[in-house]
Amino acid sequence: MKMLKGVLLVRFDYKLGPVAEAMFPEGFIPRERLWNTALDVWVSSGAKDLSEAKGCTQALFHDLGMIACIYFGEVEKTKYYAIAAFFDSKKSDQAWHMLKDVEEILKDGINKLRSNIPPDIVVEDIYHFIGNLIAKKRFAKAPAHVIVMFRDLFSTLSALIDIISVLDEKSKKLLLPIVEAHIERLAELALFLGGRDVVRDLIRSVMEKL
Amino acid sequence: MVIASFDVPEELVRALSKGNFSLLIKGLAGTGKTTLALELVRKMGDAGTGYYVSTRVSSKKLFKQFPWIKENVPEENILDARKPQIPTAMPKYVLFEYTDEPDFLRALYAKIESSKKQPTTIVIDSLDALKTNLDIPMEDLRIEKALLEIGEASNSNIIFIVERSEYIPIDCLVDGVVTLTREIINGRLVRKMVLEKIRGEEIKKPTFIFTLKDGRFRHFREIPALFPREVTKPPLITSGNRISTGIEELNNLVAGGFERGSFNLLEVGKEVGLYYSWILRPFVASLVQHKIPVMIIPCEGEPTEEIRRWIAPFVGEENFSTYVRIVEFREVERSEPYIIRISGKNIDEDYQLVLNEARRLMKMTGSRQIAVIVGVDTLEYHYGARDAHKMLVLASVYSKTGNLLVMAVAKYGQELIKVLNHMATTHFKLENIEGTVVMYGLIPRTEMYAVTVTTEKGYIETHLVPIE
Repeated sequence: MKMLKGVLLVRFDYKLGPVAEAMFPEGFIPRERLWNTALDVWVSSGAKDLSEAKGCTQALFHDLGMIACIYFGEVEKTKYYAIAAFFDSKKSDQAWHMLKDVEEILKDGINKLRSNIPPDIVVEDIYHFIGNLIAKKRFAKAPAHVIVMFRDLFSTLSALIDIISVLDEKSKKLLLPIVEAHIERLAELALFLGGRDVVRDLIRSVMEKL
Repeated sequence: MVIASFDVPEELVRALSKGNFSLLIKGLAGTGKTTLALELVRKMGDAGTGYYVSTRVSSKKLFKQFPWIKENVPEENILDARKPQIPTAMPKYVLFEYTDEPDFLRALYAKIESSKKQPTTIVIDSLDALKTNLDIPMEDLRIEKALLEIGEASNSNIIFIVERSEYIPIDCLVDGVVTLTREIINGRLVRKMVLEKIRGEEIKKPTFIFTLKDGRFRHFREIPALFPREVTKPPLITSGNRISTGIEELNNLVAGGFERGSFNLLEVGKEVGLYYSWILRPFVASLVQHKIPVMIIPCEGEPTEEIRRWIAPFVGEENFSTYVRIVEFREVERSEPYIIRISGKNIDEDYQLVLNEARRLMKMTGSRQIAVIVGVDTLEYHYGARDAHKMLVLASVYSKTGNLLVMAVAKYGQELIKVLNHMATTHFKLENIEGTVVMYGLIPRTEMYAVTVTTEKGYIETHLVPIE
């Protein structure tokens, strides 16, 4: 039985109230229960001042058989969100032990929304990051923002290699070893911080292009 | 008790009425010292008995700012002591020429002696500037003493104005001291008056809030809330397509009235007590007058009977029973058509019951609109914060479908206020500042208003007086 059930992003709309803006995986909360679940997620804030980060709230969803860690945040002035990571309620003990790490990942999700990253991508990322955390991969030891930073770096390097590959042979010979050296150094740093398997995958995808 | 507005403090009027009273008005620039002094002059004397020695403004400027003082202080009684550098075209009798202190005192005394009417009050505005013009050091009190002697000789009151608020030596010489201040509280202007001392008068309450609206001095103080001897129907305050708040000034603040289908939050601050009901009573009366049914879930400690007592007589008992429903959580023996009883134990059952009653009421009255006034503390007390929050979110969502107007009343210390703000169409806050209940808008943002109440005309009249 999977411990992590899914991630739900709720936005508070002035007219419509709490609205389920995105979820991953799709359908982990049945459609007919979505509005009520969004409302329950929202009112779990208790009386938090959403303009200040105050940490995670836990809520039990009896009817769904799940517990949720919910993080509230103000994305822009008067634009409020809640991100909820849903776990199997039978595994609430394990979820409880990971609370601090989950909170960091959810907080990072709010920051991504602030950077205008689409909600669908934010919830999917959160789902994978928490999934990896549960699987106790070393990758998960690095803070979420470090992982994001590495992923961004590798995709930039990948794009750089694409550009180099269309250059003349002389330029290629000159530039590729430099890029290669940088990738190796970055890979070492990534391994030092944790996440051997995923880092290896990322490097492999870049190296294939070389 | 309710708040009412008055012109100048009665303590000062009584003291000055005895004659030969010296008053010092202190305060920084723009605090309303001249306005208070001139209001006192107006209050004290008959036409032409006030004198104003100006070291700051010309008579032209003074009359432009205070046109109402002309009768009491005619132009010939304004002594322009500004020492102008440029030759003026002013009539000779207005220009007050002096070169040194004895010269000034001689000229002033001659002016008073030559007047046809016995002076009642002489205003020196300002003492600081006069001393500077006469090259007298601030710590030297010769001129003050001489002016007090002139007051004594002519049996007139002397009002000194100084541009400072701290203690100064003249405080000991005069009979009364008043300090005026302007403060910014919650980003809004608040004017305060402190009666520091008034010889021969007991100061029961030393600090008051005041306004300079329309260039007039008005301060606010508590008076008993009296039920009118003869009840009359309040006039209908209309607001076009919107829903009237029953308070003209509040209507103006919310674009003519509350939006049809809106969630409105009234936040009740510390030490405001039940004063918020003076906002709600005219609102409920107005709803009934407009034939809009209203359901009230009162705040904790607000008796149903008190709500009825202050609304039903003004709108008619029959109309009250037709359009008003008050939710009671406790078992009471009496049965009234306007009371709905709910258990307060199961939020879903109670919610359904209230919803059904709302539908029935709308059907019965043929109204397409309904208003709900809800005490957030009552909901929180009976159902807990989470369920109260849930109920209010639902109410907010339904309200915005168009035919429900919600007025949520949340009290000081209730954490839910922070989250209710997000869904509020309007958000007003009541606060108690120095015994005056003031109101201001967070949504929309407004300045500070004193909430005054009168029943003189036979009905409740609530006004919002801007603190300017």
